[in-house]
Amino acid sequence: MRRLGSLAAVLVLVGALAMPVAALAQEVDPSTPPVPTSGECVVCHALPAVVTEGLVPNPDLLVTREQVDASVHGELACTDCHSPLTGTLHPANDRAPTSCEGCHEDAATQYAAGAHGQASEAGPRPTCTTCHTAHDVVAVDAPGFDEQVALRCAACHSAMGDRPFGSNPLGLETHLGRIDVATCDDCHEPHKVLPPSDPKSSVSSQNKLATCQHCHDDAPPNFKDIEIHVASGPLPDDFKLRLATLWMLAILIFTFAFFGWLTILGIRHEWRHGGRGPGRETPR
Amino acid sequence: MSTITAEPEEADADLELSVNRFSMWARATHALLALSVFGLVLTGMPLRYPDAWWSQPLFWFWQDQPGAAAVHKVCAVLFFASGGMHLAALLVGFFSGRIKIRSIFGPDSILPNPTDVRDIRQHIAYLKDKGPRPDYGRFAFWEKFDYLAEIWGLLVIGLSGMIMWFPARSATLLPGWIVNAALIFHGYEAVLAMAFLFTVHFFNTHLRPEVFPVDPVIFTGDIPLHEVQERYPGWYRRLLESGQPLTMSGQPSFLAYLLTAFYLVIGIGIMLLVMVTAVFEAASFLIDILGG
Repeated sequence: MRRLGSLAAVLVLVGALAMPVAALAQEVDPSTPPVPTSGECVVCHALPAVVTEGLVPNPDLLVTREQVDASVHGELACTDCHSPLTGTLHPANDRAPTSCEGCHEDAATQYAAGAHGQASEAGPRPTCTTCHTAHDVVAVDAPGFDEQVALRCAACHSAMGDRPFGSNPLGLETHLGRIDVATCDDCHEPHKVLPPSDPKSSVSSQNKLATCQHCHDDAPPNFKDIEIHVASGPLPDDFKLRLATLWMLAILIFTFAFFGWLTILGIRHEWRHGGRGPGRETPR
Repeated sequence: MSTITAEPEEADADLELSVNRFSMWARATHALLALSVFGLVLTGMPLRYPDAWWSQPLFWFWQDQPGAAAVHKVCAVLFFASGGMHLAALLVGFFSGRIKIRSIFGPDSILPNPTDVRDIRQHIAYLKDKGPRPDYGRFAFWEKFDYLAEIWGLLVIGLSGMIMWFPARSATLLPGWIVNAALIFHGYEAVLAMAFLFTVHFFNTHLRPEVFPVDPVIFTGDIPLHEVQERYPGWYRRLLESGQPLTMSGQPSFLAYLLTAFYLVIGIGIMLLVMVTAVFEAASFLIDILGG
C-alpha cells in the first residue's frame, strides 16, 4: 500500500511539473485552448513561496481557494477572470482588471465615462479591484461593505481623514456597521464618480440637493450646505466650525480650571482643620 | 420671630427640627432629570467614543447603534420633560403668587445676584484661612451655578440634539452649517455636562467634608435646622424671622443613603472611564496640533 501511495505522489508531482509543459505544447495548437481548473492554480498560488520565491514579488499573488469561496465569486473559476497560464509565467498585462465587464457591463460603462476611468494612466488610476479587491469581493449589501469602500476611498482621498468623512453622523453610523446610511458611493455615484465641478456630477451645485433627497425626501435647499467631509482631526477646517470648537473648549477648560482650583483649596482647608467643618465641634 | 425655641438635642431622639428645602415636585423633577441624564450618558458616550473598549459592552446591551440611538431619544424626551416640569412649577408659582418677583432678586433666590461675586471672593479667602465663611443664603454660589448650568445645558444640548434629530426641518429655518455646528456643540457639551455633574456637582453636594459621604436631602426634601444654621446662616436667620413652618422629620432612611451612594458610585465610575478616553483623545489632538 505504501508503495502505491508514494507512486501516486510521484505521479501527481510529475503531473504538476508537466502542466506548464503541456500548456506550452497546447499553445502551439490554438484549436485546443488550455482550460486549467482552479484547483491547479492554487497548487502554486496558495503557497506563500509564490510571493517570497516568485519572480514578481507581489503579495496579491497569494490566493487560496477558501478566500475566493468566501467572496461573492465563489462559483467562478480563476480563468473566468484571469488568462490561462501560457508558459511558466502569466502574461505581464493580465486581463483581470478589465475582465469584470464581461458580467458587470453597466458598471464598466459608467466607470469608463467617470473620473476614475478617464484618469490618465500616468497617475494613480483606480480600477475595479482598487475598491472591490480582487479575490475578497463582498456583496454590496454585506455588513461592513460600506465602511470597507469608504476606507478605500480615503486611502487615496486622504483629506477625508482616517475615519471616512470624519466627525459626521453618517460617517459615525457607517463606522458602527450601519449599511442603511449613506457612504461615499451613495452620493458620488458608484463607478462614475464625477467631480463636483462637472455639471453632470451627482454632487455638482445643480444636482446636489436632488442627491440629498434620495434619502431625505423633505430636504430643503439649505440642506445641501451641510458639510459632509468634516475632518476627524482636532479642528475642522471651516472657520465657523473651528470657532464653535474653540468656544466649547474654552468653556470646558474655564469651568474645570475654576472648580478644580476651588476643590483643591477645599481639600487643603479640610486637611489643615482635621476634617471638621465650620461650627461643627464633633464630627457626625 | 419664630416661636420655636426647642434645641434639636432636646427633641425626640429620632426626630429632628427640619425645614423643607426641596418640594415633592422639585424632587420628582430632579429624579427624572437624573435618571434621564444617566440614560443619555450611557447611550450617548459610546456613540461619541465608539472605539473605546468600554463602548463594546454598552453597544451589546443597547443592541448596537440603532438601539443606543433610540434609547438616547427616549431619554432626551424625558430630559425635556424634566425641564417642562420645572417650567410648569415656575408658571404656577408666578400666577398663584407663591413666587414673588421681588424674591427672585432677594438673598434666598437661586438666581445669581451681585452678592455672589463677594461670596466667591470670601469663600476663597475662607479656604485660605484669611476670613470667615461667607454668610450664605438658601443657595450657595456653587448651587446657583449648578442650576444655571443645568438650564444652559438643557438649551445647548437640547437644541443641538433637536437640530440633529430633525435635520431637514432645521435646515428650512437655519443655514446648513448649523447642523454641523450642532454636532460639535452637542459632543463637547455632553462631555462638559457629564464631567461637571459627576465631579463638581457630586463633590459639592455629597463629597464635601461637611456632608460626606452623602447628602440625601434631594431625595428626602427636608434638611435639619442645625445643618441650615451651619451651611446657610443667612437663610437660617431669615427663616426664623419669617416664621416659615418647621417640621419634625426623621433621619433619612437607609434607602435614601443607599440610593444616593449608588448614583454616586455609578456616576463617578462612568465618568472615569469616559474621561480616560477623552483625555487620551485630547492628548492625541494636542500632539496633532503641535506636530502638524
